[in-house]
Amino acid sequence: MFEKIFVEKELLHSPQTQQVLKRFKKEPIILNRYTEVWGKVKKPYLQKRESLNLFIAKKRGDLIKEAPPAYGLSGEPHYYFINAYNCIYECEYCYLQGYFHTPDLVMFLNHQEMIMAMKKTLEDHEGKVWFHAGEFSDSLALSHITGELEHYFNFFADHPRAFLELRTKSANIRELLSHSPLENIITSFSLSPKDQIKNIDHKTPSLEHRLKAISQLADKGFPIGIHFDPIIFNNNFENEYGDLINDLLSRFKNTNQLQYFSLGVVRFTEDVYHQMKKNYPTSVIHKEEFIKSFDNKVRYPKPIRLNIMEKIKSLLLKAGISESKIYLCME
Amino acid sequence: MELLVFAHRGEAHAFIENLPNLKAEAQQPSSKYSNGQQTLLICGEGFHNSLTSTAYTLGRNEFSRVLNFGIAGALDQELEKYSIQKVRTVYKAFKKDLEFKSFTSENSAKGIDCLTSSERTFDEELVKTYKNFASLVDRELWGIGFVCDKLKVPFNSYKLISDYALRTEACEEIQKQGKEFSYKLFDFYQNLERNENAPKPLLIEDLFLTESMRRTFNNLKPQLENKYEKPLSEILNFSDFQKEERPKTRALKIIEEMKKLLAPLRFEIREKIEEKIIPFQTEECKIHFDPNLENESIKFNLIVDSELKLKNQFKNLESFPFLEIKNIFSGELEANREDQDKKDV
Repeated sequence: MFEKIFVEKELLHSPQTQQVLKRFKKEPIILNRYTEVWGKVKKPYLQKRESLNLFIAKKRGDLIKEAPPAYGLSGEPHYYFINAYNCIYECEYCYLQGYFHTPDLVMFLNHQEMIMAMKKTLEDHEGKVWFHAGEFSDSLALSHITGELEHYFNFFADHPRAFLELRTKSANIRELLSHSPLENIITSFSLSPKDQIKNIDHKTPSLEHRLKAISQLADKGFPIGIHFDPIIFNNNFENEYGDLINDLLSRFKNTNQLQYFSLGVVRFTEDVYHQMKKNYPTSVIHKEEFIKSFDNKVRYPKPIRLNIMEKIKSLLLKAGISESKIYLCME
Repeated sequence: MELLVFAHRGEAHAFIENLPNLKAEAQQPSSKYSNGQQTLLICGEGFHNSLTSTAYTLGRNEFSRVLNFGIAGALDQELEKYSIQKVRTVYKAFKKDLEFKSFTSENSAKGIDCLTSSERTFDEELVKTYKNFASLVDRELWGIGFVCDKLKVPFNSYKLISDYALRTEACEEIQKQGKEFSYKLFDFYQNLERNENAPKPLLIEDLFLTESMRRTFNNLKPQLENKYEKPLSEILNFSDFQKEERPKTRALKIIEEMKKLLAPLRFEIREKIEEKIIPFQTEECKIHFDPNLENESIKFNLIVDSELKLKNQFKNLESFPFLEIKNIFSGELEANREDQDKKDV
């Protein structure tokens, strides 16, 4: 899976590092800091297909960051934390292709320090505080290798005011199922119509696999969130999302387990847009036109994206989802 | 025409001997040979030489691609000595400092990475650093990649592994084997599968395109072909535009049609808004809206030279369908479609 594995000297003997190294059976290259190599030169994004490297490192600097506006249900404080950089999947619209200058994966293993930072942030607020994982990586895809979920389940079990969102496109719930569900740990799945997953979300589990994973978690009582994000326009999107919603809801005895639905229409920073055009010149994403929008992001024209969101929202309402559970992301 | 770049004459030896009708051309400070099909450049050692000579040569002639052949040291002990490797991405280092910019060769799916070093010899520490980034080390390729990237000419590089990077005593041996290496590279070149799908200049008969129009045209063409999954000639009937005699206007109309075909929904929405605006447009009242439909503001430019005209303008605008237009901006497209359908009936 990985061509080379680099480990920061400080972490070499930690049990977590040893667990990861044991898994891949590779002699690690020792570095003082992962930044001596990672991001030092511009490594083309698509080289992740043939030669992906792994860096095991300690996250330094701000361990908890305030989330941008329109991130999660409104009215509550939202923060995100970074437990990894980059992803094993390859979605054509992914902003990581223009965000970092390398596709190489970094696993940050100082989870206890991240938890301490969460604790401090929690003390600064009264009431609910949200912490989101998966801003720069998939939260579950490699969770069976890092074993990190245990740290978070322990912390959130003792801190019911703190809410954790684990964002994922994976169906890797093995590690998650080894824990008892907590009301304040929500696993949120990004879902798209099956053909979109097949054509654009390369190397990710199929819709059926994701829905099975959702259904298994729901049966065990795990709270679930759903992201319809990014929504990509085509002339049949309404039918496709209608089918997706029906398929999803048919797997729930009680849709109350679904905590929220977020809707977001595909959008890019200019850098990512240009990178995507270079990496995937014939992608179906380019079939529809984009403009530079109010915040300089590249999006569909406003009437089109509002129309898309309104239609999908009304599909959810018709299916019996309460309006208070639906939020429009980044709009 | 292909440009074949070598660092040393020794590496080029077999090519000079065997390529038909090569003639030496005066070009200082590097050596250049050409036969009309291939041009062969001996750029000299080091990336400064490769950069300047390649830039000079590419700047003076049109080449479809650049091919670099040469020897390189392996940083990875697992690479087979004397094998020829296709380079994927080239990085550059000045001693231990890595240059951020990298350049990727054409058809880069297969291949290994190369690092162009400012140093001729390496100690163990340097090899250890370089190994983190690449499997091969040379002294010229980054300069070639830099120029090709700037001039948008695709490049490929094929390196014969002469030795492993730490074996500094190997230089003499390599010099002795120079001819042999060159023949190996030449054999490889002869068996190389050419990519015939290299970008070709776009030629459209009778289409007058200014430089900026050509850029727009070249930008729109692949997008349209991707959207409709067929060549432009099947998407757009060029003969439809023959009525327009002025070549520049004809080209502008074609480009406008291409934009429309690329964004039919946006044009449809724009037309809907324009329909609502047109009854209020006069010479004295110009109404504008954001063509990208992002900004909901509508701009009115009024020309008035009397109080009466001002009052009349305002009166006229009282029935302006502002709310209907705002609803279109907010994504209510179906309601407007239904209105249109009723009108059509």
